[in-house]
Amino acid sequence: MRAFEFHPAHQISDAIRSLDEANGNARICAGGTDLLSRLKDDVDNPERLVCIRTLPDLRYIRNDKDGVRIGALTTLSTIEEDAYVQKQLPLLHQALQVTAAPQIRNQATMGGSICQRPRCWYLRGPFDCLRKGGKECFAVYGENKYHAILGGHLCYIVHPSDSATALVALNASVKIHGSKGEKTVPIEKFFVGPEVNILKENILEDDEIITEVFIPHPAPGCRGAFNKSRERQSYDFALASAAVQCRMSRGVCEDVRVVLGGVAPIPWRSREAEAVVRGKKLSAATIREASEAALRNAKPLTQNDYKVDLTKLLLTKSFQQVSI
Amino acid sequence: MRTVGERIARPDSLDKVQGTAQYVDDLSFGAMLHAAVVRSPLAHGRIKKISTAAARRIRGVHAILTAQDIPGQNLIPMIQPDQPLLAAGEVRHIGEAVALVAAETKSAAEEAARAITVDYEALPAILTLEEGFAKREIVQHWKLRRGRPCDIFSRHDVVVVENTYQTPYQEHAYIETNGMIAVPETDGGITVYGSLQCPFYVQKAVASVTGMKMNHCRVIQTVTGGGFGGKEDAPGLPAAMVALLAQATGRPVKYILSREEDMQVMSKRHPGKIVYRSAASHDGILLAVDVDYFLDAGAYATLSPVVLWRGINHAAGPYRCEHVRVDAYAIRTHKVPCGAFRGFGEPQIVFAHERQMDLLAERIGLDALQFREKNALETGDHTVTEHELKESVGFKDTIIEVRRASNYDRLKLEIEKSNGARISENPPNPKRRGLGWGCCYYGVGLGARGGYLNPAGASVVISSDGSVNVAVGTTEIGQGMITVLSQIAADALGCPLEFIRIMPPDTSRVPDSGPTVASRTTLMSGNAIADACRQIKSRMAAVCADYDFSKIIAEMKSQAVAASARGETHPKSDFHRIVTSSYTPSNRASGHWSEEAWLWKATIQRCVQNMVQLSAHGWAVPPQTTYDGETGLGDVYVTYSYSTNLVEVEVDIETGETTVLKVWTAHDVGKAINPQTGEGQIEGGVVQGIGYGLLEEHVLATDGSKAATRKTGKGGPFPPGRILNDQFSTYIIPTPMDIPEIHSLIVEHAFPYGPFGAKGLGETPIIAVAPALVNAIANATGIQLREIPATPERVWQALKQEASRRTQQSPRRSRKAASAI
Repeated sequence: MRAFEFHPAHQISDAIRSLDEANGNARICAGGTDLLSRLKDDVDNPERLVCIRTLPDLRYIRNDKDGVRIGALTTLSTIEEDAYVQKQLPLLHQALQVTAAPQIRNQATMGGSICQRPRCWYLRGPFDCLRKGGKECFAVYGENKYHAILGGHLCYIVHPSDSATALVALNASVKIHGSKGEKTVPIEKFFVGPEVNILKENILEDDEIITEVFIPHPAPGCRGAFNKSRERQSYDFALASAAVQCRMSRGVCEDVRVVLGGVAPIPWRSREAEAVVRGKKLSAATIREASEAALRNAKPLTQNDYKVDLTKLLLTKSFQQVSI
Repeated sequence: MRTVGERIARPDSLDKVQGTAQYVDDLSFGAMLHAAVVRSPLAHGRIKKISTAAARRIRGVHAILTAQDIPGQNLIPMIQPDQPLLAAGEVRHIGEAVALVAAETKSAAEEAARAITVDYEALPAILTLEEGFAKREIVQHWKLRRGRPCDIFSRHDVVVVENTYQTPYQEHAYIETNGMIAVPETDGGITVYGSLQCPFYVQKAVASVTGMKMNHCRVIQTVTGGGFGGKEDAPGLPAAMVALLAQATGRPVKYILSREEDMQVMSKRHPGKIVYRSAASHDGILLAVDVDYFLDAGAYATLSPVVLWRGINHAAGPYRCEHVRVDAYAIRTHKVPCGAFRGFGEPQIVFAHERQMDLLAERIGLDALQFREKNALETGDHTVTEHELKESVGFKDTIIEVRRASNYDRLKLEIEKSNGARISENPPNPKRRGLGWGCCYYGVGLGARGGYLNPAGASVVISSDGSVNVAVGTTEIGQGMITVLSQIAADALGCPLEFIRIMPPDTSRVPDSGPTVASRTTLMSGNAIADACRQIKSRMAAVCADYDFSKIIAEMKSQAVAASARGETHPKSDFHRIVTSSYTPSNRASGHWSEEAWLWKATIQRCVQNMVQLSAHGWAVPPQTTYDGETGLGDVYVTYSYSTNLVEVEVDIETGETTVLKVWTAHDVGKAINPQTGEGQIEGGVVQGIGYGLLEEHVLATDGSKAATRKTGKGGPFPPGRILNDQFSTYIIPTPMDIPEIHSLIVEHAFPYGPFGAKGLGETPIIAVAPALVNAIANATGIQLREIPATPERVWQALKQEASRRTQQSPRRSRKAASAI
């Protein structure tokens, strides 16, 4: 690990000023579970860490008439244990339960969780890859069993965050503070694929921090399910995951959001699958058709065709769970 | 015998769980410097130039050393003299050390290491075993020839099964990475403190590179966070590095490897390839095996010759087999050198022979267990190397124990029924249960190739208060040595356990006692302690035999009570000190020791007054072993431990995920000195075996980028051969959530030479777990994997292939094809 300046921020404006001054050479430190490993691996060498753990008032889960507001510094375990989340947002609760390990969930924050950098071993090794400003994605012809089957474009990372997959399914939005003020962005617009930006996974500018995640109250009759596959039973990133949030009325799917994780550079919303089930009963045939539709455009690399079948299975499982 | 056989708690456990144990990184010495290492980014290359000028200007840098600065030999002495400490002229694997830096701080040392530029000319690298074999890069070739296997294989009345098996790298995943501190002494010597298994190997490495005499190189083991073989020879490298830097700067130097560095450059289990042909008669007798066994040694020989040798000696498993041909090769490649790992060349070949046993049984139409039982080694049988087994052969009992504890015959039927029911569920349940067997045996100790490393020493010194210092040359690496040797010492002396202290291993205390490997510690250090205790006991008997201790004990008791009533804490006389010292607060308050303790203290007091020498050096030499290099035959080990595993798995036939539900695992250990530490060894081995069988493998960067470069006409610098998963987030080992219900079963067929009948247990628990898992997956699903780990992806691929094979082939044709071979 190389030397850096450490700036603890006591107000949001301090943090933003400190980030702005550093001109892109600063990183935000909240829970630090991802950041520290990047620093130790020598793949990220910022001159400054702006520590926002010292900010007051960003640890909360608040219910208002529109929805639930989660402060950016709220830990994943706090959210997991929240009674409202457990009752009304089972999809998010299920996703958090299979995220990392209890020790990490005690430390990791809401904001940090959705800003995690990808786990691609070329990105995190001494390889001059596209996402680090190099000329090539080594996964294309190299070792790619964990890489993208959907949405890859020059670079084939997968987004590592389980909570991001869940939040896209829940139609969440993200509140961002920066030098130019405050804005709220639908979470789908927050993540960007490599065709938009090859260096970053989201729209967050150098001088911006996330302050809140907002999740609207699910409409009556909403059901959610999240299924994730991993190589071991704890502390492992998703080989693939599938989130389904669905509003059911008399056995018919009135509205639905389908999001796949671990398969694309961003949490992958499958409008193809949504189109199949919307307005229909979730029969076995419809579910099969929807799962096929979700992966129809999948383009596996040389070693990851396994993920195509696996994702279909996970999606089928999630659909089955919301249909019961 | 009072403590042997008891479940004594580990004396070192409290320090470890409370975080007060002092590991090497917890230690600090005045004016200590920190080291960093410049390592090769290439698998193979010529060093054209090393530029250190910029690095030398960095503030706080005290020394930068390259190969030419080594005062002694640039050599880590192991079996073959091929491994330099610092690459001279040529680098032969990614991560090979090229230069050393010592600086005031770790970050200054690392900055300087980055500032050193090395110009390389890339050379063609051998990255696969096959390529290395084709180019005859053979580190070692062993042969085993018994009977006439050709005659058996040419017969028409035998069942033959032939397969090629592949096994992966495995990481030791010790919780503490390698690390060392070297401290220069005022008399010109150097003391090295570190995380290690084999202090005498480290001593030789330090003496070799510094050019110092061995008695000036003192090695002390600090509390060590696991070894599993990974700290057998490999710690010689970091130890030699800090010793050189300490010699050059005259200051203590510390070097602790990061996890990534440790995974990239330190030793691992050899990847293996086994081409295995077996023949059995139609009534289920194993007749012959014909095997080519390959291990990927990496760039240097290190321990590969002996790892390979252990593999070949156990090539057919714990079964009678009279016709054998094995050729075993360790192949040199441009990759990280592999070395010792729990099981030591057995897990690779055991995976092959235990898969073969299942496939043979299936072809013959016998139950996998029946077929094994029919061929199991018993007293009076000969091993594959024609070693006649005269005693302590508990293999069949391990099978019987597992069968009994698992209720195998009923369980098998129950599983068949439940699988049948699941298929007809609506929607069909994709989970299938299965059972798999895996057996092995393990020659205890170094065996006939161990030579001068075989013996072990011990020093036992009794103080006048009755407390005992025991020093041995083997180490505690988490396996429970301190506990078990304390029990052996206490019972051999006839003193209470709380009087025993096992000293931290130190090369200046006992003679070279060989390595802490090969499941030999209980046997060899145990026997050395017993030898020292026998000498002392016979001297004690001479003055105590006819003495009546009742008066002296009564006097000591009353003095102790009076002293504690006066609140005295400072002993006034020798006699008083003997009586009151080593009181624990609780017995001080109550004023009494156990009767046993009083008698021990009184005995020692009498011996002290009679000027009896209450110290001795013990020495243990194992019974004679033999080995014929031409045929590979001989009584190669002193004795064998035996093990049988049965695992129950559940496989999801849609995703390929395997869940291990239950494991029954029985081990003939001769005598369990401490059943609790024994069960700890067994459970740990099973979990590590599950990692080996289902999860763990290293992924190396392939030449992928060349294709990319050709295609796109561009591309950055790319190091093929580099390990891509060098962290615990990508190198997947089991977590507590992955651990099944484990039934540990201990079988005791005493070994007369062993201390209290003990053999060894360190390694058998891991060896036959992987084949049992893969056999269980086969039992559950019908797929026959020949490669581990059985990741979900690999199982899924095999299920897909099996499904397409079935649709192409009618059942009648497949049966015909099977019997025609």
